[in-house]
Amino acid sequence: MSLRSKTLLIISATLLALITLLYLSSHLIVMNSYLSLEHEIAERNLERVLNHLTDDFATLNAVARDWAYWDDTYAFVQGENPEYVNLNLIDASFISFDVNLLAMLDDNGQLVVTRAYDLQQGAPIPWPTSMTDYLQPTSPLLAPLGDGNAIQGMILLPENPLLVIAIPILKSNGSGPVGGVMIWGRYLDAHTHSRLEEMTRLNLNLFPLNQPLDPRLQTVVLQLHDPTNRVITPLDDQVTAAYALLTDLNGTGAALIEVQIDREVWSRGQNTVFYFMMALIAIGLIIGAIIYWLLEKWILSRIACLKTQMNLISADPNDTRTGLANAIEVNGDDEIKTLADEVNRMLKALYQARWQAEQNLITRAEILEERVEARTAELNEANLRLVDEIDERRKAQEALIVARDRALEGLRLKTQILANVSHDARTPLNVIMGYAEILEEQIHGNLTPKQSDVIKRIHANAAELLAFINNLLDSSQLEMNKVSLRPERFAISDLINALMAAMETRAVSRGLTLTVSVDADLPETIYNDFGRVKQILFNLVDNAIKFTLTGTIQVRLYWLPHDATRWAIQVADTGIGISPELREQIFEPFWQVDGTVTRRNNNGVGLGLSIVDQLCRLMNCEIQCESEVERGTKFTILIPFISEPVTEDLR
Amino acid sequence: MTPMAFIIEDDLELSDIFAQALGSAAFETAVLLDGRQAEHRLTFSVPDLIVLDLHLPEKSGLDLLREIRADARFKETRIIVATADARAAELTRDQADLVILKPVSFRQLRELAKRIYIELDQRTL
Repeated sequence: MSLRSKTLLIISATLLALITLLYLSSHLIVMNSYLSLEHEIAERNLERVLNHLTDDFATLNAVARDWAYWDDTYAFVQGENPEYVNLNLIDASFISFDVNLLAMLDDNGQLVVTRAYDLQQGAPIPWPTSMTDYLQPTSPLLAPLGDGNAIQGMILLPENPLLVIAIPILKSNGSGPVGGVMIWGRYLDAHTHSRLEEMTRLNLNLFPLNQPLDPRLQTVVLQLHDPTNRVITPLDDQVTAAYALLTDLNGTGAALIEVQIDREVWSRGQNTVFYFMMALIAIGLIIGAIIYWLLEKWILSRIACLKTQMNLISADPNDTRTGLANAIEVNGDDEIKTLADEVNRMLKALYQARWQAEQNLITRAEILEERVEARTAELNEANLRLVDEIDERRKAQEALIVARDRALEGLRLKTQILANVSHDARTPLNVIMGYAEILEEQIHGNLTPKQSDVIKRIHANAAELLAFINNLLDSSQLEMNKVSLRPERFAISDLINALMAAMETRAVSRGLTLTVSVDADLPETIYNDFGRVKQILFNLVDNAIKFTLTGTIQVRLYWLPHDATRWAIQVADTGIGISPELREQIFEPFWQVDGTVTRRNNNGVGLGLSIVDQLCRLMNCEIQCESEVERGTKFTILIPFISEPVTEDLR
Repeated sequence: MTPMAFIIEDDLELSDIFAQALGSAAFETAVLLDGRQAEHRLTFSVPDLIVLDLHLPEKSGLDLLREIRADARFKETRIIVATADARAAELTRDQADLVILKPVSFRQLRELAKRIYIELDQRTL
């Protein structure tokens, strides 16, 4: 909700409340006073009518007294003046005294004369019987006979209410005794009514109580239980009515008199209030408009102006014409102006702060730039160094590659030479051994024991030399990774037989015992490279024979008790043992070349264990070595079972 | 009838030893020192047994083996390949009846020949 709307709302609400309050209070006060004024007027008019009636009685009373205190009347009522009726009770009397009934009763209460006259028709009428009925001996109208006092009041006859005066007939000087009673009566009929209306210039109505009344009037009658009470009640917007109760001679209510008055005062009051209201609204609107106009001029438009300028600034704070750098302009010298000044101070502070921040940022950016430049330069330098370094390293690497290639070439050459040498050496050895065997077999004649021994020695040494050359070849081939495995299914018994055939004689010839045991749970056949397994076993046993002077060499083949995936070849001897320092070296090729190990009864350069080691690596086997110097050595080779390819099975 | 064995081997002494071994196993032997000579001899002779070296002058033992096996005349002929070259020996396993790696001992060859002699003897009966 905008400030303008709020202002309008407040002004409108205030004016509305004010006008409503004023209207209600003025209505209450003004209309009340007008209403009481109307009451007063109505009551006064009612009293006027009642006074008229009283005046009528007074006039009638005076006339009646003239007639009753008259010797002629006295004499007539005593029956002595018969001419009296014809002389006095004429139509003119009724007309001039404005009465309807006249009767005289003697001192016994007997009617002497009765006369009735219709004033509207201007003609005599018969004496109403209702009046005769009323004039019973107990009737109040006969009271003057007793006490000599006149009585006046109203009686209610069936045809009309009647104003009546009963007066004692006395002599002209007022002396008695009372000769009778003279009764005068005037009907409160249409004639009287119109005369009264004419005299008071008021609208009058008379409601005899012996006739049916409408409910409104009945309520009024009830309110008028005390005859001195007056009831004033509006009939409608135009007319208000005032009521009084007229009593009869007995003091009981006889008729209700109604005076109708125009509600001129009341409607004037209404008009007054209406015009007041109109004026109030007009003034309220004018004042409201003025207040709004002034608020608009002094406050709202300036706040709007302030807002517009601030919006402009916030829309684009960087604009040089409308942005932060500019001040807000507001006219006048009040709180709004102060607010604008404060805003301007704030804008200025903001602008300065921002400028400062920008300056800082620029400075930092410059510093950063300098740093970046410095770092870049450093990096470039480092990069150059790195390039140089890489170049050097590359050169070094190239040199290394050349060196490695040379070394490999050397190795290859060495292997090649070894292979050639071995091949060339093996053929003559083969020949030597072959001829030795031919001699041994004594194909060409018998040998002496000495000759036989010599031949055996030649054969044995040639065999040893052949084994050495084979090892040399194998070692160099293993070194060059030229050896590939050829697994096949072989029987453990074949392995054992081959071992015994090759080694038992040598062991026995050296005075050693070679025993072989195979655990019962080991499979009868195994899938692996038979030649290589045999080579491992032969090398180990050969080694054991070489380094054992006395005792036994025990070979055991078994399935590892705690590792179902491997089986083991174990070769235990009672030889010289291996000292802990040597244990690291024994798997190196040519470890015996330096001659530190006692070469007692063996020859060789230590290739056997090196080949075992290399083969074990090739075949994923593990070598365990337990040894005690001068007590013996135990080598255990743990060999994994290899699963046989299915195609092998099928074939 | 004495069975005939050819020893195709370029080393004179080794072939002599082989010949003595086969001879002591009751074979009649002929030594052929190069591939060409062997080829020539095989055109008119069908031996019962051939001991074949693979590295031969003039014509390689591998070629010779292939030709012998392709010739229907030699379908009853036993061939023992005796070589020091393990890799080449591998290639002949399907065609040779037996492959032995050098060094071949006198006794080993004699035992083998004796076994073959018995087989041949049984076949002729």
